[in-house]
Amino acid sequence: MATKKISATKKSNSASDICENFRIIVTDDIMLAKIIISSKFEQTHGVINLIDDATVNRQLFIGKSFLTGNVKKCYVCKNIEPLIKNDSIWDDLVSGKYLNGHALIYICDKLDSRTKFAKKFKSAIFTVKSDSLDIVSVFPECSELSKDRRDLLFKRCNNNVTKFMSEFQKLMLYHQYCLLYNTDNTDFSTLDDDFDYMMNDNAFINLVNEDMFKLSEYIMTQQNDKVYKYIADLSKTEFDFGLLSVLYNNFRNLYIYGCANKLGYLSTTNLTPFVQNNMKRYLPYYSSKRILEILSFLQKIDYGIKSGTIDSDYAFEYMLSGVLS
Amino acid sequence: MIGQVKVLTEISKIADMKFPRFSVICGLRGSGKTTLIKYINDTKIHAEYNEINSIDDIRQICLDAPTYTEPRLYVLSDFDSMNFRAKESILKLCEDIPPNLYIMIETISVENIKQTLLSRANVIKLSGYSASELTEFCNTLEGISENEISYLINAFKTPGDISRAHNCGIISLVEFCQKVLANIYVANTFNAMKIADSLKLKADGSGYELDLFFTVLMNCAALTLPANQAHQLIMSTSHALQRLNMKSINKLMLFDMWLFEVKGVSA
Repeated sequence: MATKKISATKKSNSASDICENFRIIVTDDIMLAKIIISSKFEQTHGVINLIDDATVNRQLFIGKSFLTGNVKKCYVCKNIEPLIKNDSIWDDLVSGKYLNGHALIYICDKLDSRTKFAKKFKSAIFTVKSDSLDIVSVFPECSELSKDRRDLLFKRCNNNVTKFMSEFQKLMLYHQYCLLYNTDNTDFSTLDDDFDYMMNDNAFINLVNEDMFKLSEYIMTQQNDKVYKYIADLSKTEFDFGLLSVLYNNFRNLYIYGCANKLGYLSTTNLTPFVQNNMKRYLPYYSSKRILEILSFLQKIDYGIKSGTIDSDYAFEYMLSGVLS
Repeated sequence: MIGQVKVLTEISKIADMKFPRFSVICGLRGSGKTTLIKYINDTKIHAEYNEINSIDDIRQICLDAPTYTEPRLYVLSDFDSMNFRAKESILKLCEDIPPNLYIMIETISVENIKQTLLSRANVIKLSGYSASELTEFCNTLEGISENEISYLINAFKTPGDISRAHNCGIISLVEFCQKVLANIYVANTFNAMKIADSLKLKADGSGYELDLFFTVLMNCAALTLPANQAHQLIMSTSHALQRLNMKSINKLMLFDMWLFEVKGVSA
């Protein structure tokens, strides 16, 4: 089963383990979560039931015995917010008081590990990644597509099984249409051919997101070839003000660091040691004059896009051309 | 309401429940547009008060409005920053307003509204406030001193801005601005950038609001700096204040642009 290849990081809590029947799965990939839940609980708890948070609230949060019955079931709830806000029942959940042998699983797409809730339920939290997932074992139909194309599509779906299945179905529909309406009896196109056609036509989603900080690191250290290679696969649907903001803050801090360092006033700046270390690495690539040029340039870009004088479709490349030497 | 005697007189002449169903209220930020709308609702319309923020709200109203049995008032307080499509949707709604529906738009200037929309609206323009009216408003604020009233009336022209400035501590803001003016031309640029640490440049940040800082700074500059320097600083600051009205402007970048202009820093 594919679950062997799914990595799920679990932090162990040596103090006291949480009841085995209570789990929190952190992922935005519902299909993947379903696979994990099925593999872990289907044999012991039979059918998996989706339960709404209103029912959970009604029962659990007013201290009633929750989920009665001799036939053990696994309940999945998608809204964890009410539980996070209701800390009066956390201890009871840890001990499994209200579960009566049933399983209760929460699925959420993100969970801040610094919160009290995450620390309390550390050993119950599974953060799921599918980086090394063998998609064919999960979704055998896609074995018709060649491995390279499968991997490419999975990458474009950001390794999200749910989205991959949706895109693959799109491909199958198109393929069936081609087979059905091929009237001139020439060679029928294969699934790979149809995939290439749709890819060239940009018919598949592209969820490959830029890692803003990695990209800004390449830019700050003027590694032009890495920058261009990195952005080759990105889907640029709209201008990324986040990257602009990160770059601006970096160059601003760099200017402050450079001037203060020259005059021996580093301790009077508000730059943390982490930021100072980064600026020390970036400083050799820039003069003060060049930093001021870049700051003015980035200001112009931000204002230009928002006032409509710079076309946002080309602003990203324009920004890179101005910042990279 | 304080002041706005002419507007209130015109409104009082309108009979109850006969208030125009589509109105545009025009006035500077903080001049009392929302307060006036609530006053009109309480005295003339007596409708359920709602705010509209997005194009989806407008579309939903278009669908639901014919079914209303009780009067409802919808207010667009953010009209100036709405995009083109949202404004076009409002036109569609206002072409034939269903019964029991009242719509009021708040705007800084009638220039921001298309003529086709204006021609269907009852336009109410708020006038400025006199010093005595602003003083009367200041006296309604809790814990205010004579000194503070004097600063507030000199620097601000609308009750809304006065209220915001009072809440952030006008005396400390004035002292901060005076300190900035005393040092901005002598300090290094990178040192001057530290001024931003005391300003609220993010929605969740702390510090003085940027527009209040700029307004008080201009006021202080006129009183303390030599004429040429004051003129240059006031020009740069008023440019910055104008740009601040732009939706989602990056305040840190705006502040730095202003600083570079004031200090004559060119790349």
